[in-house]
Amino acid sequence: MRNFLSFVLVALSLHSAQVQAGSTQTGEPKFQPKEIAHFAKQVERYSAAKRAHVFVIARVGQPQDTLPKGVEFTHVALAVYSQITMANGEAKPGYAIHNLYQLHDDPAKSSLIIDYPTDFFWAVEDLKAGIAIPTLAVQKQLLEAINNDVPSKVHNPRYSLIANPFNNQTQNCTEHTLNIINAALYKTTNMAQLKANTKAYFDPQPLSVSPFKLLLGSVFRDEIYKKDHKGKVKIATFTTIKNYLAKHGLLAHSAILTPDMLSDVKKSEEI
Amino acid sequence: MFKQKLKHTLVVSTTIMAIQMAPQSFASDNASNASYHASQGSKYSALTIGDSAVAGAHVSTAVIAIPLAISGGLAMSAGSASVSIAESMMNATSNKPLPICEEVVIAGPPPSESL
Repeated sequence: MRNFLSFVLVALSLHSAQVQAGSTQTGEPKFQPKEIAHFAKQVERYSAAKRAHVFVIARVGQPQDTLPKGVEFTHVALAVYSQITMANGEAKPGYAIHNLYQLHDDPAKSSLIIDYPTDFFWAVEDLKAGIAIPTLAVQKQLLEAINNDVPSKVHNPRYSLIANPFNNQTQNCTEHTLNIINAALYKTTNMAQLKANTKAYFDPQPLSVSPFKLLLGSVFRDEIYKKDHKGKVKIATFTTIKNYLAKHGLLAHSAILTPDMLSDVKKSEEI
Repeated sequence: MFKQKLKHTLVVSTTIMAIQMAPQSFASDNASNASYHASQGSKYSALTIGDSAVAGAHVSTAVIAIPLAISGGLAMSAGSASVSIAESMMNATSNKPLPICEEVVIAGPPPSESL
């Protein structure tokens, strides 16, 4: 029995190591630092050319063929055009990225952290960005919300990778982004109201992972919490947020950016 | 004896299946931790030293970022923390790209490390 327990523990720790390999914030860069920095700057310039003050930004942190059907990106945040004060005291314009990050040492918890495009793309699997730029009126409301600390007010630090966007039992980066958008649109941080509106108007992505796998995941990993779902697991994704904005006439522009596309902006894939 | 062996095999098999079949394909990509912040120093080095360095661009560590307001008929609310800059740059009706600094900006270490 002792041997068996040891085996389980070793196997679990190996599994954990494998899982963390996909957690790109803590991983080594897969591209040359200059390539990452160049791509990050290209994404900034593309967005600046669209005069985007606040937009939804997404990245890919693991191989595309390992992602569930309908999930194209693994992390979503808001990019905010900002005056950035550097360590030497100089202030320069650029984008700051407002993230909800899962805590590595406590995977069932998250915190809100601002970083910058090169940080954001540092450990990605592909140099690929999803961007969804809301209309100017929505951006203005998002800015107001950010200035009024709404991101903190709609943050639930209880983290789940497959958080149900229709309730506030747990939260992930995508649900938090959706919360900020809705809080800005409806000018409220009343969670019951926000969730009622989300349920009425937002179409989540059904997750094509077998119930058996999800059950096992929820048993073995703290950050996979299934109890906030009734029936089929449905989550918020970059694409579903982009579609939500588009469906309600709140999207100005969206694109999937890669280095090839950005080398000739006209090639950028409109989505 | 056979029954016991079978039971043991079943338990081991189930455990292996559980480990392998947990939704690894949905691994989180947004973890943050102390090692990430501590690695900001090595990130700075990677961007500035050696063959992988960014040629011809400064790498700067950010201290704070304050959202810039949209002007040109979309005034920010009173008391907004946003910074207003020249109307010519930020006017919502302009077609010019928003200015972006040439520096490669990365986040600094967490406040706890500044003590």
